[in-house]
Amino acid sequence: MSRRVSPKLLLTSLISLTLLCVWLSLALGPLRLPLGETLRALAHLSGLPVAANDQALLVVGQIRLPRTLMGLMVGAVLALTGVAMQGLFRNPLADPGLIGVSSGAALGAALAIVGAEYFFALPIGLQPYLLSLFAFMGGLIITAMVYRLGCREGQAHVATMLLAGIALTAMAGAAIGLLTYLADDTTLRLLTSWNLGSLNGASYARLWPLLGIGLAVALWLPRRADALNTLLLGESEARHLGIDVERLKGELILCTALGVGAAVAAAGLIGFVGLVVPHLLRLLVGPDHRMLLPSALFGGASLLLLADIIARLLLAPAELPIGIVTAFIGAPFFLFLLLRRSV
Amino acid sequence: MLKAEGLSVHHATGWRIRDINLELRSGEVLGVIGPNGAGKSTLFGALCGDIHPTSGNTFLGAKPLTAWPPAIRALHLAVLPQASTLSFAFTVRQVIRFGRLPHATGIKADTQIVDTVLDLCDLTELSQRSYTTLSGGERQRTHLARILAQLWPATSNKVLLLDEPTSALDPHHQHSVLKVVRQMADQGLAVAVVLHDMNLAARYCDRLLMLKHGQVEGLGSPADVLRPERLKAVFDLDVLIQEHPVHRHPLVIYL
Repeated sequence: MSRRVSPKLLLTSLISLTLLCVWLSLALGPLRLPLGETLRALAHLSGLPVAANDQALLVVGQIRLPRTLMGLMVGAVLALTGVAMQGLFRNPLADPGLIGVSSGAALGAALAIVGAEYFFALPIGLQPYLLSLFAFMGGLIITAMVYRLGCREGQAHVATMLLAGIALTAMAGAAIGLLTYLADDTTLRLLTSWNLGSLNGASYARLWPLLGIGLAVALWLPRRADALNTLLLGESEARHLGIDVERLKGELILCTALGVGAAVAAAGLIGFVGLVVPHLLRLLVGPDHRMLLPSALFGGASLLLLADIIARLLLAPAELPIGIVTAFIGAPFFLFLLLRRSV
Repeated sequence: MLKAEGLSVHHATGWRIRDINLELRSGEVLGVIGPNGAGKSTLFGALCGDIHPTSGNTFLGAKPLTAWPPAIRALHLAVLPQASTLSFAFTVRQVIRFGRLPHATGIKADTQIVDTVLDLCDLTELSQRSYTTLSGGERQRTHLARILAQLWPATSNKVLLLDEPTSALDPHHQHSVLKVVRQMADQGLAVAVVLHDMNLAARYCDRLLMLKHGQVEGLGSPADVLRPERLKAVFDLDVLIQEHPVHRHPLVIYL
């Protein structure tokens, strides 16, 4: 008999936690705003007739709101696509990076960072967008290659895709290594910090594409919850339950490629969230995707916001890369759950 | 209800099944027997669309199997595979509920059907147990219950394919499960079932199909198919065939 949490209770707690994290993320930072002032500024920004002081308006509106929303979307998308990939591979240890999207995005970003100097004579102001675009395209291209390599006679073979993903990840890694070797000290530092992830560069311009894609993924995947459930029984079993399995696999891969591509393009490589949030929530609510997907959305969002708050505060005014924080928070918690479960 | 016309499957190593013609009728239980590697599972794969036949066709009702939209086909054809791997901790009840996904009968009716099949497969007490903690036989019965829920209620336009549904079951459950299958066939369902135990097959099946090297070695009533000389030729078994003292079906006695 499993000791599971009531799904309603868990979802309510996760939503409350997410709201709390949003609030804290708007208030905390090198400049600490009073919690009430933060709310007033937020209300003013949403068009309510509430007076707020200018400094709070500026900090919340221009800096922390885009950053918070970006963190929210990145966390939600990574956790949701993690669930999708664990369902696709029918393995609770799968990670969104398995189909090559993260390594592809990393390669794209490395090309943009190192190559900008060699090949492109772009003004420095355009470089952040170049980076995002290259990262996004890199993720899509490598994922498309993995998917093509896994297709035989119109069917996508999951095991072949997994191996193709490993091979292409290794190749992308080698190419990144080569670019790292060619890089000078400044670009090297940029490359490293990007590989550890950060919400530091948040802006509305970077937020909108992520928000659009993230919302699409967040609305689409829960519609496929029943189909994902049957996929866990096996592809043939799902087919006999009336699911168009090839289409489902295509949708899952597309959602992951777009979602993770956009998340990585916006915030760099943030490991761990996509693997552990779904796994952890599955221990709490069970494997039913109708509950797991919404829980992962809020769980991923809160974990990332929490990690970002810590990343901002720990060495303030300097910032830690968020990937380090997510791993430091999540890994021990995950181990704790594993150990508790096995006794 | 399910018809195979000249069904052949060729694989790298040769013909898995060759030129199989078969008609599965509503209301009958057809037992498929044959030694390991005879092509029983390949035949089932080709019958349910998992394997594309090299030549030949399968018809479900009047239409070729491939012409059915997946969601509609699932209302008429259910398949129990030889082995299922599910490594996620769904409860028994949740797994069986999946069988109702192709339907839109509402939670109330679905719950009632799930309760019924839970009872039929002797799983009521396990309904809240996690699938991953079940024994092999309990897992097999859970999947069988899921398949029964999918085709519930049994009517004459539905087909059930069972690949070795009793392989992990104790003798009591072998009989109780086949009795349920028999009942559903009596209500109109067309059933094909792979069995290794010839006495079980003789008792519960209307007809038997015997396969050897992917070809039909015999098709007919249990008494016609289960002949000592044929069992010697196909299985290399020395047997005596007698009449079952109570149920009157042929009884295979291994020498």
